[in-house]
Amino acid sequence: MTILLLALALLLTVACANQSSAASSAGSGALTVFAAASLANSFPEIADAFEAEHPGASITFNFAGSQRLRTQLEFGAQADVFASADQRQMDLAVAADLISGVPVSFAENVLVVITPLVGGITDGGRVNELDNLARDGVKLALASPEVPAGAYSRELLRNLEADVVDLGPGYASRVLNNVVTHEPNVRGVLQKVALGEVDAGIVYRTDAATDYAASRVGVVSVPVGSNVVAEYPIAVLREASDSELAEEFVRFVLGERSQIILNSYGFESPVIVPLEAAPDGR
Amino acid sequence: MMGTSFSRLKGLPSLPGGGLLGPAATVLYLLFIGLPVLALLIRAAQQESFLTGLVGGMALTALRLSLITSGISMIIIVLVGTPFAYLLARNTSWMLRIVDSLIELPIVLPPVVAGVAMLMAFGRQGVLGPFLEALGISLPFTTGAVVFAQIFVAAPFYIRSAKLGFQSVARDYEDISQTLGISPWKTFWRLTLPLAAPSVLTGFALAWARALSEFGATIMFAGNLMGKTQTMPLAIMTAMESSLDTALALSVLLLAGSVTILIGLGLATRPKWQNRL
Repeated sequence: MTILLLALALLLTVACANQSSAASSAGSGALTVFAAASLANSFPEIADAFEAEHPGASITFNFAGSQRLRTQLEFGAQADVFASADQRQMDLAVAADLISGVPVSFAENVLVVITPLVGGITDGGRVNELDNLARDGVKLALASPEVPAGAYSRELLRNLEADVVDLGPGYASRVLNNVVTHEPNVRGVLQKVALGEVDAGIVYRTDAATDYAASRVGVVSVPVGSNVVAEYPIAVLREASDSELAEEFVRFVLGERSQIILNSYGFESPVIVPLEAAPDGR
Repeated sequence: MMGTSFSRLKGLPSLPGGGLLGPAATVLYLLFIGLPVLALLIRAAQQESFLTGLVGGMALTALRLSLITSGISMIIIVLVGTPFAYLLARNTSWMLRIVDSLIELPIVLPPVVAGVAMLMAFGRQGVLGPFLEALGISLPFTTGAVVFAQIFVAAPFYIRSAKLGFQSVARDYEDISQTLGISPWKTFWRLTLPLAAPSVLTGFALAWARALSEFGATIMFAGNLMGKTQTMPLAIMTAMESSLDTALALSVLLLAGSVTILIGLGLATRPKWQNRL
């Protein structure tokens, strides 16, 4: 009796492990999309629009730092589409032979410095200028250097040091010395600033524009010339269980309807949207 | 707790379900636990850069921080937890019984929830935030916050086990000792604590292992900064996303630490148990 139960439990476990691939390969229209954390607001809306146009299709998301998504894929996570917040993680995915076809840029983003509206430093005034970031005792949250937002943030600081003479020599390293936490994704940075637990952080403009953030954080503007343009590439994965539907979704993200949605969240469309190019590049 | 299962095994009672179930279950379980651990060691040994991963700044810094913070946590847990556990074991007032049933809350609470709760309590915007700020203390994202998180999640393991240990020492012994004119303090040190030692040590080891492996509450409340709040588990998570070598090296290091605790625990508790039985 016990052995029977045990065998049953094992069978169920194995069935669970196989569930995702089995469900989608049956042509049920289930797509799993691994998308950068900064897409967590806009992509569900795009998915709703896609599902409305494709009856039977249903999209499940895994939002996380692009570096984590890429790592999960490398270790065998089953997914159909990968949307990264930077070219680097996509290149690594291509190098690991995870991608089918050629990745295409579908959105652009820029960085902003955010400060908490409630809380933050009380003595010495709020962080309201870029040079405040380097002030002694200021606490900053940044994404880890492996996270796209973290890599962009460091690039931005270097740009500022080179472009804005007033900030003084060693600006970037002085700012980095004030970092108290390296978050595993950009939303972690937003959360810690929104809670008022740190004095400032660097996130994407789109993160600062979400409903959640709008009432909790203020934005310190960054000179346009020094800002970093984040490019978001998207691609169908080699192991996609329904590659046709996956390609259809990628085309949809590049299409006008999705681009309008993305723009409404503060993303910009890439200079040339290759609307006609098939995502597999053939 | 552990001791009772040992003593039951000694009699080797016949298992329900016939002769095969026991061995089959044992083999299955050992494979399930042993294979991943073995795979970790094999993969780590295959890495040519295993040693570089180990001596790379990140690994040693994280190891040192983990040892220091968990050491401080354990000192505090023992200093506060021992008298508390003794009180729980000896006092049966209804108030303490309610407290007793709440002791294990941090064990069942998801660590991430613990981290959020600590932010809400000790964060700058937390309930105690203004008070702490008036004292010039800012706790989140400091090494102190790491210790706070570790104590929060690990202390119940020590207190629970120590309490059971103290309960297993018959009150009569203590009474006799004191009628012989030995002070309560001395009675505790010379009689109660030695008799309860196996359980106390088991609790110590479990709590220490839990403190070393603490992740969720730490990343919420203390953040992730190398040398300051990036303990071993956080370093493994960070390394996993950039360099598998370092992640493997760190994992083996943490595994070695856990095994050392386990062996130490076995050595420390077993002979005494046999004396008692």
